[in-house]
Amino acid sequence: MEWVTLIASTLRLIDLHDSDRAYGSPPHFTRESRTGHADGVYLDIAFQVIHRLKLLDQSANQDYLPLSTILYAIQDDIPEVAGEADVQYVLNVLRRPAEFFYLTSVAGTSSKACHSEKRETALIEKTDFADEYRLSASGRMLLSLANAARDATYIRGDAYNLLHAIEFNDFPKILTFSDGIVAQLRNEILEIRSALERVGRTESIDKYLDRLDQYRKVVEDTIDIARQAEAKLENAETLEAFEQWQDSSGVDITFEHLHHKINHVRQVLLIFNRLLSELVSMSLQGARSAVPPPSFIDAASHFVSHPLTSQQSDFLLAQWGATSLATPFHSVLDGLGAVKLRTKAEQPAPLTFAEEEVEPVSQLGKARFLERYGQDIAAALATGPLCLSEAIERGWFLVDQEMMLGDLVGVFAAPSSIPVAGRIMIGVGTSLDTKSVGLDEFLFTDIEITVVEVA
Amino acid sequence: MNNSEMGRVHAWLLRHRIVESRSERRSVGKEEREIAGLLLNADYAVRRQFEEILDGQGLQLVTLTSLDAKGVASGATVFMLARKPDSAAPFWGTERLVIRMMQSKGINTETEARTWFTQLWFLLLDLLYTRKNRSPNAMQDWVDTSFIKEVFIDSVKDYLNDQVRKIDPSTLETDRVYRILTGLKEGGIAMACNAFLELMVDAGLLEEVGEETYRQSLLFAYEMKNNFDRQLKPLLPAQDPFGAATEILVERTDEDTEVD
Repeated sequence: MEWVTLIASTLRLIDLHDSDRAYGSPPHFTRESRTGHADGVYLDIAFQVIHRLKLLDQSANQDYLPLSTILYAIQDDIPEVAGEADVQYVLNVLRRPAEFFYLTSVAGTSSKACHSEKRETALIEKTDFADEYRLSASGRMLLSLANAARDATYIRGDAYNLLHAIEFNDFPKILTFSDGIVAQLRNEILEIRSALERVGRTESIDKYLDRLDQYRKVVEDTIDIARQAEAKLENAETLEAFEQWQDSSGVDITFEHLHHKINHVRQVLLIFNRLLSELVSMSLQGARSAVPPPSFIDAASHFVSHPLTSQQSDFLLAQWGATSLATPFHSVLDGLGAVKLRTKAEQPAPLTFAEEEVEPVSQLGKARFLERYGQDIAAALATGPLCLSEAIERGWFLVDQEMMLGDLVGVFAAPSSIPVAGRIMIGVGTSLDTKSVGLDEFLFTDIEITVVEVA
Repeated sequence: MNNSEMGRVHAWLLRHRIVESRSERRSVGKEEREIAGLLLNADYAVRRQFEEILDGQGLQLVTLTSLDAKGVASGATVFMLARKPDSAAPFWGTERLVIRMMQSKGINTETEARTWFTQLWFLLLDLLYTRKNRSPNAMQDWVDTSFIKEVFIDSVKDYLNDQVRKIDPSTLETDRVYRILTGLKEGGIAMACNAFLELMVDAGLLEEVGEETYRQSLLFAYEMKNNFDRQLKPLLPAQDPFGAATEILVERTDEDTEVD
């Protein structure tokens, strides 16, 4: 059991709890010495007592153990010190409730409330009228707390937890467990890396080398479990359960995320395994590659009396110095936002009036028009000049009940499309002409076209 | 990552040397995040090609995750451009270094600037390695190297007073370095130290972790781990082999708790 971790963490908290430093006084912490025999005997008795009581607690649920049995067990174990009075003393300490004070935050406010705790602080309980003892609820918790401090050799259990979480479709727990495993392994991995780097201080590396077989077995088993977990997660049933759970709980986790997490666990385990192998090969070679640091300050003063040659100095600066780019290289975003572009407000275009608006001649319309009247116009031209007024009179502005006056005027204005041989001359009349067509009246300047014989 | 993006990543790396996808210690800008994203999502082939280009330039793209090095935010990746041994990239120059060092009062020539920089660099190494009894291979310990500027400047002054000024210049074959080092006044020394720290931060070799507080960068620790034996050790004065052997045997225990 990892009592050291538990005691170490508790001691400092107790120091803080018992501190009588006035608020605002200097920050030094001076009290370091602890009273006592400094031999650990009482602690040892206490561990024995708790161990006994725990065994009892497991076999006869919550029953009491008589003092004589406890005494017997402990004297068996550490006969030289533990007299009856000593054991009795330890039991008295353990069953004494302690009063301590702590703050808790109050929901909804920033202030904190002070509480004192006296109940449930005794670690063991005694029956009222006889010397019989058992673990209290806190005492049982104590064992779990001491057990919680452990290293990677217990990782297999965590991996089983992960596997079970998948089996029970307890999806949020999957994240908790996998994060826990990864976080713990990450620390161990970084520890090993440091240990590999700083050989010469061996205590950190021995921790691993001594228990290497144990580590290897655990890691291999755990990789196996992680693989099972992955396979289980890929199960169709699990996916179905996940979808149902997601619908009912509305929690925002994707299945891929879960998958990724478990995959990550396996990857981390593989890295851990590889590092362990590296440790082994290193310890087998006995090659301790790391060197203690040279005295750089002595090097500096050495170079005062024996200056570096200019090549050496060039090399040193290029390889180790704060070199920077001789050529500026720019990233595309280097100048982003450096120059503000001022865009001018768009000015409304001034209104312009076209001097004359001519009805456009539609090509298709013109073709249709010429197909219908082209020959007629050509025939009329063969006999002499033709006037627009005359053409209107003949009703050539209607093609199949459709008004095509524009095309008629077009042909008169640009008569090159009329199927006649020779050039056509256009003459424009001087007076305004009127023609009534049905209810409407056309008002126009008459145009006369004439065929000029080619000489 | 297409070629244009590769160029962008390249340019950024050459300038800053370190790209982090996320950090707990400093805020990572949008541009840096994008660069890290491009590198993370690059196809294997493209990434390989990029590494080959860098290799030709005497550089190495180093990728470290939270499982490779302490101080990397969990789930984050750090990309660094480390110098390969014996192939100092020709486009990296010391012009800026010289100019910046020469801005200190009393440092007037290029030789002076370079000498001061080299000396300060060794004193920094003394602070980062020798005094912590840290092996040059110990990359992981980069996280506990932070020091305040005052400590560095004091160690420089102590060095000048206790070691350099105690040398009798008449015993020296050449007193070039001696004269350079003893030529600065108190204020000039502080200015030189400031310039040095600024240059180191600018080159990605130191990190400014707080006001006037610096620490070694992961890049510096990595270069040290990989290049020390081949690139620096031969330059150093030979150590007494027996002295070195005894040092290996001495294990330093944790510092005792401070008792007033």
